[in-house]
Amino acid sequence: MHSINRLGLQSSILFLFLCSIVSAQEPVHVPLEILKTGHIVVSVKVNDKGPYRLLFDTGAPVTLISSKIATEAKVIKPSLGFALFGAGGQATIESLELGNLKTQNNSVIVMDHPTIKVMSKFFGPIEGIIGFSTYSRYKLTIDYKNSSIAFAPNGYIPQDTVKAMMDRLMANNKNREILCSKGVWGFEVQKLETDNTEGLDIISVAPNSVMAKVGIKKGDRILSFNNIWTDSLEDLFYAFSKCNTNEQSILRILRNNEIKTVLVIPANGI
Amino acid sequence: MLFIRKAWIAFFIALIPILSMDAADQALPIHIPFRVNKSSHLIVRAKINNKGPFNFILDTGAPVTFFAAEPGNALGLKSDENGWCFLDKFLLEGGLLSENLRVKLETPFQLVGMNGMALGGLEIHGLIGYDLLAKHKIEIDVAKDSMTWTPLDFKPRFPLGVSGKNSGSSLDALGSFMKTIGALTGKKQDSSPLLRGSLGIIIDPDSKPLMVIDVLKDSPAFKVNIQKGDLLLKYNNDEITSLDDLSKMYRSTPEEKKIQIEIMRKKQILALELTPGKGL
Repeated sequence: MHSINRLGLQSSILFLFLCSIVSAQEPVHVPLEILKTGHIVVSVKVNDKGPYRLLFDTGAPVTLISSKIATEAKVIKPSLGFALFGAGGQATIESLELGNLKTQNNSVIVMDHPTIKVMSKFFGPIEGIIGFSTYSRYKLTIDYKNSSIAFAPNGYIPQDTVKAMMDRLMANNKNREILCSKGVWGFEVQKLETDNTEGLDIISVAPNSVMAKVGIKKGDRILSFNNIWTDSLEDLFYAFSKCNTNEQSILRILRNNEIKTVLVIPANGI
Repeated sequence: MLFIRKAWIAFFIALIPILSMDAADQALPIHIPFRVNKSSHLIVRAKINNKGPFNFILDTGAPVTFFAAEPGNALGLKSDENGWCFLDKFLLEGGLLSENLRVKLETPFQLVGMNGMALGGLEIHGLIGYDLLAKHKIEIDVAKDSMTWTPLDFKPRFPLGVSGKNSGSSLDALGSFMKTIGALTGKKQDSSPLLRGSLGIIIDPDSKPLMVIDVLKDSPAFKVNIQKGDLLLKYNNDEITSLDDLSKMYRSTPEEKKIQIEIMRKKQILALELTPGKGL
């Protein structure tokens, strides 16, 4: 009897544990309103106030709310008033709900956007934009056909875009970016100035390298690496700086007018 | 008996439309490489009529796809009186081809501003908007650097406010949204990055201190005679604790700084200076 009870307790703990895993991975589907202009509108609650209609705009770097929301949802402390928050005034929203999706600590800008005011005249009140600072924290599945976006948390922490842009405007370009390939591959390419066609020529392959082992030869032309076009040296170094050295990378090459796909993992090293 | 067989056939025929509908909806997802630029925009690249690549912002805030006037003119593209232009081939990086794609051949004021102020760090040539986006199911995971487009059997309605008939109406101002803050000028796009190849040192990642297990022929390491069995102790006077650590130090060494590696060979410590090459 005793042991049965214990078993029951344990299995229920396991059950709860499984539930928490499932709920962490289960994406939340947020219904969309698609305007006649093709714009996406989502219904949003801010600090339990609302719902308000906001545009979902992957082209917006930050989430933006109107001064109306800021006041009603007490995003701005009344004592501070609006003097501090001109165009570009930053604030943090404690709780933001898109349909059944609850998100915390969203960095937003309080601004009455002129274009949105115009849109509101045609399509009813729109009170802001959901932008990169919010949506980048989720794996998104955008499905216009079914008027839905699925959100699953991905752990991404977006940069402070406003600060980054201000830094960019104030300071001159800082250090030159370095593109450094990951792993050791054992080949060298060149692109002649007169060469306007896609890809890069391989001009040497080290005999004891992984590239030699998978059969890459001098004279082969690299067309893409992990689906990234390699038409310039910069593109090539970018693609090789992005790869995962523990996984097979996909190399597309041209040899004797035939396209070949080669899978290759780099050697460990620098 | 015959009746049953006929019924079976009918049953299968009835299945066909369902199966084919499923097939249409189950087109394979295509991986589209993208990057997040300095102004937090999602940038995808496309070749137009085999020329390019050109940089596009993936923009649910744009009703249609825009291609800036300047690169468009350079490609010899012509637009009609309403600014529309049909592109024979619009190939997204990753391999998604749209043929005969209608785009607006003009530069939205937001792009003029962004490019003028160099906010994005790289020149932007256009926006991919609703009309092209809506034909696909699009998955975006910024954390994993992963984006896929799955073609859908779906014809989006032509967006209002951008057709020829309505041109000139205030809705035209909705082409896309203002995404820039501030109004300073005189900035340039990022200078081209420094390309750093490998040193040609192949390392056993589980050894401690790290041990060289091979050196690529003719590599920078080969030129200073680094050998199999050498132990790597210090990189620019910092102790090397792991391969990850060493890779990070190597990647982040500024351009003007020399690369010095201290090694141990047969109980002797040697200091070597290397110059990275263009080989990978």
